[in-house]
Amino acid sequence: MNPELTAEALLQLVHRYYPVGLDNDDPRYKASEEGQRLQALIDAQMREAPLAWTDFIQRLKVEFTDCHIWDATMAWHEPCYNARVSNPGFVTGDLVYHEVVCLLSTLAPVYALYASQIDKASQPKPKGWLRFPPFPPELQAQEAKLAGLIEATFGYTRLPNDILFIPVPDLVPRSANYGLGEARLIDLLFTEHRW
Amino acid sequence: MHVRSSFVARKVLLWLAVLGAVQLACVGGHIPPSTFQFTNVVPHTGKEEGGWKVAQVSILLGRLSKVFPQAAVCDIEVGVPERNLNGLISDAFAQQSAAKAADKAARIVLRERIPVALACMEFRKHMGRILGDRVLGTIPGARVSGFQRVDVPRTTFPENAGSPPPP
Repeated sequence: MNPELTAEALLQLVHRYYPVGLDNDDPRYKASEEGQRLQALIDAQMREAPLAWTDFIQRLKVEFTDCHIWDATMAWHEPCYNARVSNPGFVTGDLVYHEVVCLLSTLAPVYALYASQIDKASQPKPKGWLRFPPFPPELQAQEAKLAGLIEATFGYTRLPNDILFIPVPDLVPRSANYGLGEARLIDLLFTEHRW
Repeated sequence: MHVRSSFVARKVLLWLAVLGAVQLACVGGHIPPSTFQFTNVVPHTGKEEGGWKVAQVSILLGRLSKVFPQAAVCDIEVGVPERNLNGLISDAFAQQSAAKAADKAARIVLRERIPVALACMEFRKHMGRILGDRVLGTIPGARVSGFQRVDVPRTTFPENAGSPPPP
């Protein structure tokens, strides 16, 4: 792995963008040097999505013709671009469906994938799961295709689960309803809002 | 004498009933849907999922229950997509869903009797789960946080509690 993308390097990196030991409700959080640095990044994201990202969304629509593509990026919440690709043949209102979701960080050239499945037809009540690799066999072709497109387009590196879920107890994500001690690296590099 | 004491007792019972009803109303929050005034911040185009609208509300916890200090305020930003995998989300549906989720979250937080410093975060957590849970939420994908945007109108609950803070 690129030496700039080791767990240690990524932990150091997030400490440049989030203040140590402060809750995000604390006025010192956004006023801190780290908070200001993250704010500047977020401001830049909000001005305009990079052409590479909007082109990528269009490319997904071409490559996954029978799927719904949802650009779910929340630029003012977190340093992350986010796209959701439904199962082929999805029709609005379907009771059973899945999505493969990609998260691309704007702090480092890294990405993550997860899968989200919903079964509203399940009795006695709806159920669902959210899964990081390994994906179920029926989703692996979609996973591989999406990963290939991200790497070919952006040259980003996919982070494995053991790095994504490293605890970072002294930092709190910008918009999460988290206290100190709850954050993982994935929450800080991407988003805690995974669904 | 017996008639008079019975009359007094009935009056006391009536007052207690009224007081109980008022307390119940306060504890539940009963935040009206109109409290959540959604503003579009990401336009929705095409037939697929996307777009985003937000509502910002300052909730005076101290006016919900005496458990909290009078000055305790919880700022919440509710964000919902314009369209998700269930279809289009009207402003009216978003308002009703947000109000119901806020009521339920308020009941849970007041029941837990947690310190005010944690109450706001717990309120947002519960409201976000009730509203936006992938499986059981009324608007999958919705999220609840502290104020993130500075360019949308803010309301206050209760409405007569004074002007909302400037952005």
